[in-house]
Amino acid sequence: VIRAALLATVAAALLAACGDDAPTDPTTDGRTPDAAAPDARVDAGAPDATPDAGIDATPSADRDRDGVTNDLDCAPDDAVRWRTANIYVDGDRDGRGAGDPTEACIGAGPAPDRSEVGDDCDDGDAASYQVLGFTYRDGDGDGRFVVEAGTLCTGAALPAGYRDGDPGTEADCAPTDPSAYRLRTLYVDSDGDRIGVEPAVELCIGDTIPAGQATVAGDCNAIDIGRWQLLAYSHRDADGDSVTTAESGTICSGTTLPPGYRTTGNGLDCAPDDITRWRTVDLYADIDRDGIGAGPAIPTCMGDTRPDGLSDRGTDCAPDDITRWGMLPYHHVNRDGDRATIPETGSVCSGAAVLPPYYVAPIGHDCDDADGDRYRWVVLYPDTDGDGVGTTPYAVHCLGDDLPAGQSTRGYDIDDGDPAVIEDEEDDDELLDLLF
Amino acid sequence: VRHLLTLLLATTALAVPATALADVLTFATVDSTRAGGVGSNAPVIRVTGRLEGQEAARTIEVRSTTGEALHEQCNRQAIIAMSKPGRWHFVVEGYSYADQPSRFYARECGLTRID
Repeated sequence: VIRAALLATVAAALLAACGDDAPTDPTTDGRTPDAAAPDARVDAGAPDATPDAGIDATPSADRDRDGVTNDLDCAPDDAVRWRTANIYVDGDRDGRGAGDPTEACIGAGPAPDRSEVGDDCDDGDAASYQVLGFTYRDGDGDGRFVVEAGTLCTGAALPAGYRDGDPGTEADCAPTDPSAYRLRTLYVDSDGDRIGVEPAVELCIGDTIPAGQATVAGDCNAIDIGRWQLLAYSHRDADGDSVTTAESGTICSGTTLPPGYRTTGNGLDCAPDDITRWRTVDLYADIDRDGIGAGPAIPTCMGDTRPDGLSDRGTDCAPDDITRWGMLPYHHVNRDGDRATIPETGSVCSGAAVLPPYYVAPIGHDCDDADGDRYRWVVLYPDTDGDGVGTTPYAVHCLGDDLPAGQSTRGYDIDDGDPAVIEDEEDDDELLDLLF
Repeated sequence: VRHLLTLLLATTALAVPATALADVLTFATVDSTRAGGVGSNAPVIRVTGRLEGQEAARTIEVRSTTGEALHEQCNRQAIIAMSKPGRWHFVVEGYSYADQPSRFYARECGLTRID
């Protein structure tokens, strides 16, 4: 004990000689560690139950053996306290106190609800203890900030919604509305086709474009969702018959031109407003309605059906006669109206077939087409005896139905002077011999 | 037999050249008939007479298309018609060509009794 006291005294003297240059450990309890002897507090053995009145009372003694001499120890008799410090009340026990400090004798550290460090900006919240400055604020939590400078009692760092420095994002156009944060130039889109109309309006919006608004202007029809852009056309089909007329312009459209407007032509509609007519055809007046017309061609605008009284053929050889319309060939004629024709070739205005007196096939062989009473050539044999069979020589006669008297179509009378004799049976025998 | 005849006529009809003019000649009179060309020459009958309904007499060269048998038959029938004027019509069925109207190719000959 004596030796320790002496050492403490020497140390104190040295400390005094060295002044402020004496090394101290700011992180420890402020006591000077023993250089040559172990700290009294950690020295083996318990402190004296009864201090040595003689030695312990000296200023250089360390009565409570806490390593601090009595003259420096704010509690010489209390080994757990030896130094004086300004202590703050640390209500939230975050290591920082608040309020005015009070001087207290303490040891290694203050009590758990006390701190040697003051300036706790919120002693009721262990997570908040220091004031940090911020320059940007996101009050509505939408991730976009506005310039707003201030300070905040916080923990180690600024909480979300506060930035000390430019966040690099577009400024929040609605700082108190989490659903809107960006400013956009929009146009009223009444019909919902995503194309709006002037004038432009600046709206603070969120992730999506609000209904009734569009980012693009130029809708050529603000009340028709199917039309929003002007498209050029070069042909029109106003009546929908698919045949066009040349007409160019622009029309408010959707993705494609509306019906009736085209960029390519198809024919030339002669009746642009009449779906039943679209083509011009040369027709001919068909006065007798036999399907074949005549006269000069009449350019006529029509569709699938020809107008009544007109024909696409103009070759009617009898325009006023419904029974005749075309020239047909004939090879025989019967001008006298009897029962036979004569050969004659030509063509005659007819209907489905040639009509009398013209014929394609012969009827008999008229021997006199100028005499209706005679129509046939007949070989006749003179029949002198009147027995009905004549004899050669024969003659050819132009006759009607009747034969002249004294003539016969048979000419094998072997005796034309005797009406009782006609044929010779021997002749017939010879004939049979000839045949077989 | 009828079927055979039908077949024979059909075969004969098919044998008519495409440009030929099928026809039936009816001689109202046979004024003369001359046969020739038998043997090495093609059999021919030259019949002169008046065709039914016609005024002028014509000479038709009738040629058999089936051989000498028909040639003989046609010749005999022409003679019969000539021997009994006004009793028979000598009929020849066959064909001719437009550029040779006086030459007639007979496929069949026959006699038609007038009364």
